[in-house]
Amino acid sequence: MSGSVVVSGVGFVTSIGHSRVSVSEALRSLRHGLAPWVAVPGVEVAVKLAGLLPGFEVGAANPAAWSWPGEFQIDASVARPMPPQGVYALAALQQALGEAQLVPEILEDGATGLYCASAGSARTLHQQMGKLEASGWQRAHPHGVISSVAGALNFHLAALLGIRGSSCGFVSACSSGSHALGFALDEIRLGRQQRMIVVAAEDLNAESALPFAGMGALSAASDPALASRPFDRGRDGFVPTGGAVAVVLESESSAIGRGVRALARMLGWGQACDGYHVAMPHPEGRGLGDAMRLAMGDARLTPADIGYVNAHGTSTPAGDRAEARALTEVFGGHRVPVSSTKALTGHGLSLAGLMEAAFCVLALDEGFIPGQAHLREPDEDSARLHLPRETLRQQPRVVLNNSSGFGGSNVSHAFSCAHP
Amino acid sequence: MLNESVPVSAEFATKSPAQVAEALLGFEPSCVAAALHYRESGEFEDFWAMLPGIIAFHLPRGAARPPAVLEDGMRLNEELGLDSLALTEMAFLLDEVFQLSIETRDVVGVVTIGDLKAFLKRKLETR
Repeated sequence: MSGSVVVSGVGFVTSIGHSRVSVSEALRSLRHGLAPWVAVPGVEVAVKLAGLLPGFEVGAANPAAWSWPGEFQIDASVARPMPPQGVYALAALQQALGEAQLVPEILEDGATGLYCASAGSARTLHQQMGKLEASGWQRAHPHGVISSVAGALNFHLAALLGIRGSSCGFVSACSSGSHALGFALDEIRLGRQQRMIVVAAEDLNAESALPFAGMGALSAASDPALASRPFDRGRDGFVPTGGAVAVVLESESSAIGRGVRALARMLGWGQACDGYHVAMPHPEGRGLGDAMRLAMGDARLTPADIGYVNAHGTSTPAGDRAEARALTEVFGGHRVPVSSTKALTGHGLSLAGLMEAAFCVLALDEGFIPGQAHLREPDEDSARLHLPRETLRQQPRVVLNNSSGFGGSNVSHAFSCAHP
Repeated sequence: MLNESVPVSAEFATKSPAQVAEALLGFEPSCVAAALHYRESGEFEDFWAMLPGIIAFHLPRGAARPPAVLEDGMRLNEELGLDSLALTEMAFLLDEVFQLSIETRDVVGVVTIGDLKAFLKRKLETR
């Protein structure tokens, strides 16, 4: 494998903004996007807050009733057979493709691929199965599969964009987006593709979020400023969010040849599994530590090179503790700034890893290090970490981005600044 | 064939204009108007007047709008661009709004506008 790979475009539909400018402002000012949320109208449930997506209304069973902010040119006939998060994905793609200047001739040239990450739409599946059962299993809607299953996002987007190169979907729970980006990097380094578009998108509704209450994973807090508090002694679970992020990876030679600006370099990645439990992390963060070491090895870095770590940090006691221990073990005496931006966004599940990779790209391109919002008192393990309470106005040169998912899957990415 | 009465379902007959518009959300106003005419008249001609707009709604992105007058010999896929997914989606929408009792396998033999007309008329008469 050879050749440098750069990021040439990013796009956001997140609870902290639907544009690069608004997301960057939120990361700098530590403005969160959490707000009171009615998961089921008229029903009291344990979850009071979510990372909402103002301007997007995709909750109706009839897609004809969906709407989105006017700045996004989305054809209703394209959105109709999609899962709800497909609308978010189209809006994020519009931004990323625009920034990377990817026009149809390039998208369709066979040297451009598409990897996606999404858990599918539990809501649409719920609705479609209910109708099918009510019909005596005789009346299956033609959109029942393509609007609901985990691969729905890549099915639709590959066809819409005219992709003739690689196309695949990734499903590894909360590390899905990170896996998609890591394998996209390899696809370019192996010379199979010149460009890879990576999209992660997630639903936000009762069906996507409330099942996590059964695992004790959701915060029951009602104060948006305190509910998502990674690494804090008082954390009690994660706050759900939805949305989409799109990232364009490209060989540096392709970006130079097209005259496109590089936002950051992607240097490498690593993945490792805990081999421990279906839903709980290894208590010492064994797999995550291995993933960080593998990412640094792939990128030919040492812990001393790392200037910032965007932690997975979901605000669950077990997850944060395991990650804090892994970070302490990997970085030893190196005082590396660490923060989890889920304090601001909430936890986007399949979306999370790619969203935070894109945050790292902004930090590298614009010269800041996101602080750890909502931290009052770190617990014993987190107290060993360097958790800046405010965003640092300094240029990171090399950063890591961590993700962990069910089954003990762990991914870490390494990025560097693309400009002197 | 068009100038014949077909029953209006009890459920559709009791819908208000606002409820009809809600059921046909996203469709051209002429579709909604035709549906309201059909609700009052029970004439297949009024029901059929919705079809150009309903077909247009279900066509894939970029397909040309169907002509205002649909000839019986027109092929739904090759001439109008209505693929099998779009045809089934359209049939199911008509079922939901007008209670036609359409099952997945019912639309397999519907190839032309004439087939579609006969199919819908039969469903309206026999539900």
